Amino acid sequence: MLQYAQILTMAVLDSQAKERLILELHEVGIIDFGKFKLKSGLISPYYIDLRLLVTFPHLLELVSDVLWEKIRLKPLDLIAGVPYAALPIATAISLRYNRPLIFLRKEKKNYGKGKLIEGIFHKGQHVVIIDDVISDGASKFETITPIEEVGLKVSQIVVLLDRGQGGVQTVQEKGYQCVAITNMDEVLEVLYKHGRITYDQLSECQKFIIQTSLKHPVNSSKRTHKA
Amino acid sequence: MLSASLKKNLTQLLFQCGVISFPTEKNAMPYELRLQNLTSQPQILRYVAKLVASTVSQDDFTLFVGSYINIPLVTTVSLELDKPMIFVRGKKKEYGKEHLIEGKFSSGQTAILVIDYIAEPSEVFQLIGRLEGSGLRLEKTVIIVDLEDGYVEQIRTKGYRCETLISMHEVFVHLLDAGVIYGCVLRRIKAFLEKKRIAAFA
Repeated sequence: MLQYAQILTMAVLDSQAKERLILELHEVGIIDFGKFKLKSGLISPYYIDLRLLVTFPHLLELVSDVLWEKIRLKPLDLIAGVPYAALPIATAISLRYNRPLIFLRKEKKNYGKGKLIEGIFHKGQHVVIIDDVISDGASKFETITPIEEVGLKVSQIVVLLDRGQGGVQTVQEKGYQCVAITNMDEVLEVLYKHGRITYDQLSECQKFIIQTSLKHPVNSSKRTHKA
Repeated sequence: MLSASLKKNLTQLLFQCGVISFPTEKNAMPYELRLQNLTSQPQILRYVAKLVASTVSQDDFTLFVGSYINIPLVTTVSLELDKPMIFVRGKKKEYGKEHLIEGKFSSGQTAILVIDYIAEPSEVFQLIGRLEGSGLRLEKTVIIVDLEDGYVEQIRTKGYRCETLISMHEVFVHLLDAGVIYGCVLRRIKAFLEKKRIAAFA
């Protein structure tokens, strides 16, 4: 059994790595503040573009280390990457921790063998799905369904950032293990604590998060919004 | 150019991880090439990335670029050399900050394109067009497997430098040497390629 002090040290190390990650993501502009038009037409005061991670290989490795702390806790034969942003992350994890990777095709080939899932897999294998963000959770089933259809078992879904729109709960309610490493509240808190954003920016972002999460109530059964 | 022993090694690994297979069903193609299967054996993927890295050691460039289907391969090369990478998506989304080319880059930078194999030269030209249209300069293109259907030559003819790790012919020779395939399989492949070549000109 682990000693209390050890558990505490691990938790502190975890949160230190997380804090460092958040600060570095902001430094290179992956977490950005300004005015950004979203799919829904809303103007967001912040934007997180994890597709930019590929430009910073050292950050890609940092992200994969932070994610691994959650990934390693559940049965795992295969890592599944979701294009686009999560595929480089899943690749980095696969290389660093030596686990086979499968990935979904976003754009199905119209010639040759139009397979939806790339890579080698066998029925009954346990898959951990890696994704960059989770909004209301609806899009996660676009990944879960094809993976289950070929006879694989989804052991958990690990996401880097929870946008705070109830996605984690939605996926959990369907009976899947789903964890997010961090969420927008925590990201803002860390950035404010280190003086990276002003109090005005902080409250503007917090207001926006509350407004948008009210638009997508966590317990709504009519989830028509599609990610 | 890789040495003969490296090519032999590469061939064995590609066969081992299911990138090259020889389907036995009737009416199937005599051989099948699926470079996506590389992701199933991360050490082999890393080995291939190291070989790609060795071919660009003399080149002066800022970043690696790949199409979305080659994201795992190009990510591995990028991590191997700790060099930035960008990727070209198939379609552009109309919302958010999504671009046709994802990742940070600036006009005037030099890129190395990494491709598994050329299925269709027009796709490669489209990709190059998008890169150049965004102000990037293409230093060279590294192709893992040359199918020897003249596609690599087509890219070269337009003035782009290309380097290939191995050709299909070399793969077959090494596999025949190693006793993985027999003469009859090779004859089937030859007949198949001949038909394909004739079809290409027809």
